[in-house]
Amino acid sequence: MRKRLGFVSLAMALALVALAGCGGGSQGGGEGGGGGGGSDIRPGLVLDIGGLGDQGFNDSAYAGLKRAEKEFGVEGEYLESTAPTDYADNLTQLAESGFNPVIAVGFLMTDDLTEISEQFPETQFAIVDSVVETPNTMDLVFREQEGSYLAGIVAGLMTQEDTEYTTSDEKVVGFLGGQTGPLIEKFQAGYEAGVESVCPDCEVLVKYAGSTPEAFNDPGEGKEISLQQISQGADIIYHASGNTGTGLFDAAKQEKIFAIGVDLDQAKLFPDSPILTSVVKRVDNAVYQTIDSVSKGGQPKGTTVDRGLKEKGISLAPFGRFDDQVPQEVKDQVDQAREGIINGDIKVPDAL
Amino acid sequence: MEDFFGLLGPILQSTVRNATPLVFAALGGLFSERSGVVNIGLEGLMLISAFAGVVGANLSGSAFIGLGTAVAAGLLFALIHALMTVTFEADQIISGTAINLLALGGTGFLMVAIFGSGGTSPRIEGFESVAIPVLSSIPLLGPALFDQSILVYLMYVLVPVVFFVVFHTPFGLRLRGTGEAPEAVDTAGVNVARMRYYGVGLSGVLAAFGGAYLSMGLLSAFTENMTAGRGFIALAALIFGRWNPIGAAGAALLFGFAQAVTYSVNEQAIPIEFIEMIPYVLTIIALAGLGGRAIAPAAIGKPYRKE
Repeated sequence: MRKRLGFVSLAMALALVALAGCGGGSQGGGEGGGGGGGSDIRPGLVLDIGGLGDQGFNDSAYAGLKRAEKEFGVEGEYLESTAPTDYADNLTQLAESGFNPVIAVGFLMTDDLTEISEQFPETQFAIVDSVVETPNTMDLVFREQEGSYLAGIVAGLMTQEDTEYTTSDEKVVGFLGGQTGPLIEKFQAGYEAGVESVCPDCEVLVKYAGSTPEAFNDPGEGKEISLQQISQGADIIYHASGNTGTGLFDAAKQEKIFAIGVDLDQAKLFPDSPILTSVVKRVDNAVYQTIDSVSKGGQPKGTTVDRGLKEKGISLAPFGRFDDQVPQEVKDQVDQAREGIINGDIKVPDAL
Repeated sequence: MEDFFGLLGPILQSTVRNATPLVFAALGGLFSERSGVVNIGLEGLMLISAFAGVVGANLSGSAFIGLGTAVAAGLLFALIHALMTVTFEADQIISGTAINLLALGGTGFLMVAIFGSGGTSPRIEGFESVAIPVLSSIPLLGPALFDQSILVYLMYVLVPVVFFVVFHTPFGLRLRGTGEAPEAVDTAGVNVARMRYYGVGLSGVLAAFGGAYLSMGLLSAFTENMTAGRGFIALAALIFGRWNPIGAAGAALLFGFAQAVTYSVNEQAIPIEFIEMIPYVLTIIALAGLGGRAIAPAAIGKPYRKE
């Protein structure tokens, strides 16, 4: 019996290890190669929690890698992270295996990347949504507040309209954030400023799903928060909360209100939910351009690349199937604000 | 304050929705722990069932068939836990953790295998809210209690049923005996291993209802790791409720209410970190013996070997 116990414990331990590996680093990698005269660089991507199929941030980064693989004939690799404890392993693994550039997709990897980029001074690193102060790390940041400002204008004006999904009687709009912190506060600050600019007496209900990275992956909580905001009169809710936002889309469908998506044009990804527009963040372009510049030999080193409306790193998705419900004045105001932001007339706050 | 009362209706509705998966999982944990097997794998059992339910509903087009596949999956993985801990006498915490990791990695892998990509599954037809006539028009409590998914109504029925089964039937007596003094019930002719299989198996079935409620009642799609710690909060509710179905349900409602309040109060009013720790703080208080001690079944966590 004793022997059997030992065997079982060993089997369990092995199972644990195997499964942890399974969750932590599902392997990707692509066809890529074969393109005549392709560069010999090997781009590597470490995706954040949520991973592939998040219909947002991570998928966008992955699309950038795929495009680069195709166009430059390079062979890349990506690793998914299921928990913050995976970041360091994944980054080290790619750097050790000679991948270059290694791109960390997500601000949660800031601390790990700071350490690891010092251990691999020859590797070009890049991080999305954060600034890492090492000489071989490129920072790919966005001015999300600019797109959020436009979303705020849409929300502030549309909540005063009578449509299939909004009523003019209550001037209340909602914001659903993921994890509390400076990144999502950029979205919130821009959104609130946008609402304020067109509807000073509108109320913006703000709620974050939590204070840990899991707050980006809890659609149940996203739905509850949305339902509460709807019960308080919100008829448009903008989210910057990753997978948590799918709960908003569920609530929007159920209660017939408008949702505003984030990162990708989510109306196309959730066709059965009333998603009026989305604040699109071109993480794919940032990833693609980073691979591009490394493949051309121009080492980008430690620069910070800041993308906003002007650089087309941030944009507001078309209204799509709801286009005829959006009055022309609303569209004009959005266009004016976009120009104002691009030529510097409008300063959008990037923090609360 | 007037604002708060206007919000009370939606808060109570939200409370019931938040509490439902916790109650199911806590009742499941109760059967397992009362039989003497710690089931830290509730989280994983819920996750697997949430996934299996969506797959079943997606393939068949029927939410009820989805519920069936959810229960089957929950039972299957609970029996793996029973096999490990009862038959092979493996450490119950390690086995439970393995179930949790298996659920996380396995559902992530199967998402890609079945639906082509990870993240969020396609939408399915879940269990819509069904308002019970008359009862649902009671002010305040009516919509909260009687305008919900049928899985919520099932939960109402199960709490007293579980109470009756555990405390007023021969089966319940044997189950509790197995968790308190396995030698004694063994001497009395009860098959300890079989009782523990029943206990753990039932925990899988009940956790499955909780998981199915998440992916098919509250929401209508599966998202990777969507249980987000609810299995552990359910365990906390079980302990806080002193391994009693009524107490556990009350604790789950309390946790659900705390969450619902944070969803609706102003962001700055209560720091979100504070709310997140409420279930665990209350559990520590319960375990520390304030307001009467929370005493676990005596033989919990110990494999029983027939002499």
